[in-house]
Amino acid sequence: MAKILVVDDAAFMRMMLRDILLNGGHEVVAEAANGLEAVEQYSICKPDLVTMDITMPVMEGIDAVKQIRQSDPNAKIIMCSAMGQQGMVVQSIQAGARDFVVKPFQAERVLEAIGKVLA
Amino acid sequence: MTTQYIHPFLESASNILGMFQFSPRIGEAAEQAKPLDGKEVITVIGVTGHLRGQVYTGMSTADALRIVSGMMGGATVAEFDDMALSAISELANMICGNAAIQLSQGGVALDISPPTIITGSGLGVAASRMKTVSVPIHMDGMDGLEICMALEV
Repeated sequence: MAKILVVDDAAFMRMMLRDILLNGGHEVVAEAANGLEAVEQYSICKPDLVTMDITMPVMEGIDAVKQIRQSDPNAKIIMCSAMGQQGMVVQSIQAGARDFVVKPFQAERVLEAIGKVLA
Repeated sequence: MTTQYIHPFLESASNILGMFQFSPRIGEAAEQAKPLDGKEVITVIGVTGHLRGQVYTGMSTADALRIVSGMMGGATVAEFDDMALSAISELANMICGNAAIQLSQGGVALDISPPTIITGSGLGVAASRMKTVSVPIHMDGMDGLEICMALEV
């Protein structure tokens, strides 16, 4: 049971992830629609874990990962994006993300990834 | 713009629609004088990198509601509200993102913009300065999707 911050510019995707996470027994403490909001919400809510989209306006996800990890080196972030090219995955991990879930995803994949990162 | 660049977008659309329980059939690619003619919901995603331009999807409002319903596991979607609009935008995002994955495996590196979505009737699209290829995607009981790629190397 983790407190999770959900970051995606699509309201639809935030809703789908919220459903998956709640059904998986987690709590969604906040949502953010871009990387800048993600950085702000992280410092306000101090979640156990973040799900982070990549392609977003204002600030992209990988930049947000870098900033969050700078303020909290222990931050646990899982990327959740349709842009799953090898280069993008490598950049994400180098920025500090712990896993990368490619959209479209199955609920089980998301919950499994969260379980592994929190363990 | 060659088949090798178009194919990943079509395959991606086919796979993703399949995941939402649709049975898409990809039609013939052609340059249309009036791309996306008659479509009431149009998504636009910008592409940069080895290819640049835009990728569009177009559909009727009725089809958009059917597709959103499929994306929500069969839930009834009565009107094309903000959440439905977001779902269709996300569909376009996933199609382009997954196509970018496939293209990157062939050494073609792309980045995509967040989606823009346009709704209305009597819409006219003229990507007249870029070669624009349209491909219909047929699904039973539906008016049919159109993917339109205005891309150059």
